[in-house]
Amino acid sequence: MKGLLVKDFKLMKGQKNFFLIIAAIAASTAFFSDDTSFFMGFLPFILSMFALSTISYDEFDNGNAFLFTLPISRTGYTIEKYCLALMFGGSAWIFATFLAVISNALKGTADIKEILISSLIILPILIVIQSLMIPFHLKFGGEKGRLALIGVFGIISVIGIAAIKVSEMLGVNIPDIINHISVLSMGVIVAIIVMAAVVILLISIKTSSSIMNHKEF
Amino acid sequence: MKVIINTSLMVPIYEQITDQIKTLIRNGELKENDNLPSVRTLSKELKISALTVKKAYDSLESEGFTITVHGKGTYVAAANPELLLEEQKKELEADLEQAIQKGRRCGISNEDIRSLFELILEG
Amino acid sequence: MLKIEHLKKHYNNFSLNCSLEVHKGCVTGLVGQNGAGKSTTFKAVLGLVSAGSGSITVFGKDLKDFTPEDREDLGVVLADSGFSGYLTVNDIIPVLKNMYRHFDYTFFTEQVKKFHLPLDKKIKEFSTGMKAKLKVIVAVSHNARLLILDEPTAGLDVIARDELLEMLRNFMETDEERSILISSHISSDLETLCDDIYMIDNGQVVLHEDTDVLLGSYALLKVSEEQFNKLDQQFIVCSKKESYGYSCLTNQKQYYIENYPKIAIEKGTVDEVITMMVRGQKS
Repeated sequence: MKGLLVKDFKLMKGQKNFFLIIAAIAASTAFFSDDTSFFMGFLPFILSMFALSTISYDEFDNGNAFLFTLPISRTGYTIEKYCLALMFGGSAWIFATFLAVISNALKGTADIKEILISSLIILPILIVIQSLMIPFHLKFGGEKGRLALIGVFGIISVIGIAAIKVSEMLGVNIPDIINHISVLSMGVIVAIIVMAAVVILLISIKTSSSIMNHKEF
Repeated sequence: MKVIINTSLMVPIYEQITDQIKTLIRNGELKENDNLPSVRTLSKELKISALTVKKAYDSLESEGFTITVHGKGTYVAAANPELLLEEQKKELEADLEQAIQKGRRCGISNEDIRSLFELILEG
Repeated sequence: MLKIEHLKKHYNNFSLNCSLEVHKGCVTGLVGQNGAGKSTTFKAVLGLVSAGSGSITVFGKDLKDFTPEDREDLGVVLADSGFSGYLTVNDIIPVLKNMYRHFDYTFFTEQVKKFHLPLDKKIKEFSTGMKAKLKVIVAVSHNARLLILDEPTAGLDVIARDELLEMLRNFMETDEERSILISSHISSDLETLCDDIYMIDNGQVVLHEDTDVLLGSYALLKVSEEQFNKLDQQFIVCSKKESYGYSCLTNQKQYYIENYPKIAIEKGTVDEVITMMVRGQKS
């Protein structure tokens, strides 16, 4: 797997300038606007997409055929992609959180606790998004993968809206329920969300591994 | 090693190799205990299949011209005057056959050919 | 080294049924028309496509049980696939170092230098010849025991092809137990390198012969209609109608040279043998 990581890092090297621009945008929004949550979600999300782009590089020009004759295992390849996503997304998340804390401390706006909480909520969301995108990308390739994912998000949104409409019709008051829940300590809620994200991640890894083991070139 | 093969001839390649190596041995260019190049090396130099070279080497060994020691390679065997003589007789036979064929092609009769032959022998 | 037994695969308009063997210390060639089944066979051996029914054993091990460590003993060249074009030779070196325990860095850099391959240029900017040479250099630089080469000389000029074949000959010379399975369209590749040759046509192996025998005992007889009718067909493998009469493929050249001194006999080359096997009528 180390060889694969070296390869992907070398490929990413070419994107160096893009990285710097993104980091600059993030830093400027942090310091010049009051909205901290935007770039805290934006930055890690963009960077974890880089992992997906390495999958596209592998597919490009039928490169996968040669790649899978090298001394790697299908499962190893799959795990390497998740590692990349977590490495990139993870470091971006730390950087963004750090940036948010610093900029807010300097500006004296908002409080650290709230920033840290939103940061902790963003992490599992990030994990879930990657868990959905990677297997789609592996199965359907770059172009179709993105379309399929938009489709899935679309369906989830529709279900969400429908659920809200239905609950309104049934007279169930969702905001009330949510207020009730926040009686429980925030920590427990965050812990539950994180664990759910990890479970989804593990399912995703299993699925991707299976997809790669059956793929033909 | 000075072996040159001609792929456009009707003579099989392995035979060309054995013939030339025998010539080199006869001329003394290849002496007793000289190491012949490995099968792969010769096949590389001549740009032919290694099996062809192996066939040639096996043939030389079965006729007693070379000895192969596993792991060490192929060596020129001790000079065997009888063998050499046999080889030279074979060559003579081939040359004579060629001469006779030529005579026949030109329309010279068998008797005339024989007289010519006797003349040269005595002369 | 490599044994394929009754590899069968079915596609829409094509069926493959192939058995072949590559022995230790041998260079085995695979030749056939485009679409005859060569690439499919290679992909199956490399685990890129499923093996259908039949068995594939490499180094005595069933392909299904192959691990990444086993793959370190394989050197692979594919005609239409390689390292990402966005990488440079310098980028590839650490990748190879990490993937292959026996990667020979000194040898690799020597070869790269010898063939004047630029170290910091993206591979996609290489010429066809340079790309091909790089692929072969990569394949022979980690002490592989078996090379699997699918049309490594495709699209190359004569000189480049010669240099590439020389690399392969050197590879074989270094270790007598190594083997190569190579497919090619180019007759001379096969005749000057291979020890034995398999011919595939329409998914079936139609001929398997030692190169030596093919070049030495096979011949093309060119005969008129009249001569054809009087010809002893015992050793004719197949024949084809021509404008002058018939062309016939035999595997006993000597017989016809001795018994039919008057007919035109041409040396058997791989090209002629393939053409006859594919387009001729079996006797």
